[in-house]
Amino acid sequence: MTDATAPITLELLGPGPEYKAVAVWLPQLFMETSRAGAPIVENRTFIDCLIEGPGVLLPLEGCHFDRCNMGDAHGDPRNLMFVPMGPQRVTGAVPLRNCTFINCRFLGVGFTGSKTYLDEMVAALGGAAA
Amino acid sequence: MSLLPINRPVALAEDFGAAVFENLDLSLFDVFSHAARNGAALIQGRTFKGCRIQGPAIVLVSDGVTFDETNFGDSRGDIRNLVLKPVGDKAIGTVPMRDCAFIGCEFYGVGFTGTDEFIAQIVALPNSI
Repeated sequence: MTDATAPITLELLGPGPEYKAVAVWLPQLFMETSRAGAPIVENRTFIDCLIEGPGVLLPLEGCHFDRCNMGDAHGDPRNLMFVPMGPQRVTGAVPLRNCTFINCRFLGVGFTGSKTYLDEMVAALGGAAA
Repeated sequence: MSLLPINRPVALAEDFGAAVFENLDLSLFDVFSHAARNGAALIQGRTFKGCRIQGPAIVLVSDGVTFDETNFGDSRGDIRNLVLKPVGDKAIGTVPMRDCAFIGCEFYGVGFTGTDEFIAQIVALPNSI
């Protein structure tokens, strides 16, 4: 019988820069990046990956999502979005720069950023403006 | 006597299913993951005293969550920097919490979201209460 209390051992994701057909647990991705001394996940390419939360991504410049399933938004892509209340900073999100996601599936992942960015993302996903 | 700042040595939590965490350091993901593996997709019914709580994570503060003498984290002078507002009715990607008490805790890299009422309350606070 599986021991639900036993700690989970995860294989290291590694520094990439390319990840293909792997399951990426966002907290682990950030922790490995942070321990390597980088405050931002950048210059990575994810192909055919499962990107799993819980987590809220903050795509900074140079991020692209091609042919991705952004996850179950319960009928409204705005359910994936969060507007920062602060004028200049966001705390608690996972920042990305120059990252590309191709044919990836997102599970339990939200998104934040500027209102313009969120509106564009919602429109791309077929919803009304954020 | 103030419970903050927390100056004790690092003491990592090991039992993430505990009802009470006292003077321990922990990642929200570890507590959430333990709960999820045991059938609950939220952190519920826990008490955290004197804990350092690590993100990155956005906490969805639901019913029964209380904060006493809490350092919500480095807001860089504006507590709104720790707060996000859901655009839709759901809050996908967050770590949901219900009926949890935080006493004398410090948060690191954690953002907060919830109802409009909760957001209004937290943006009216200084960094620590």
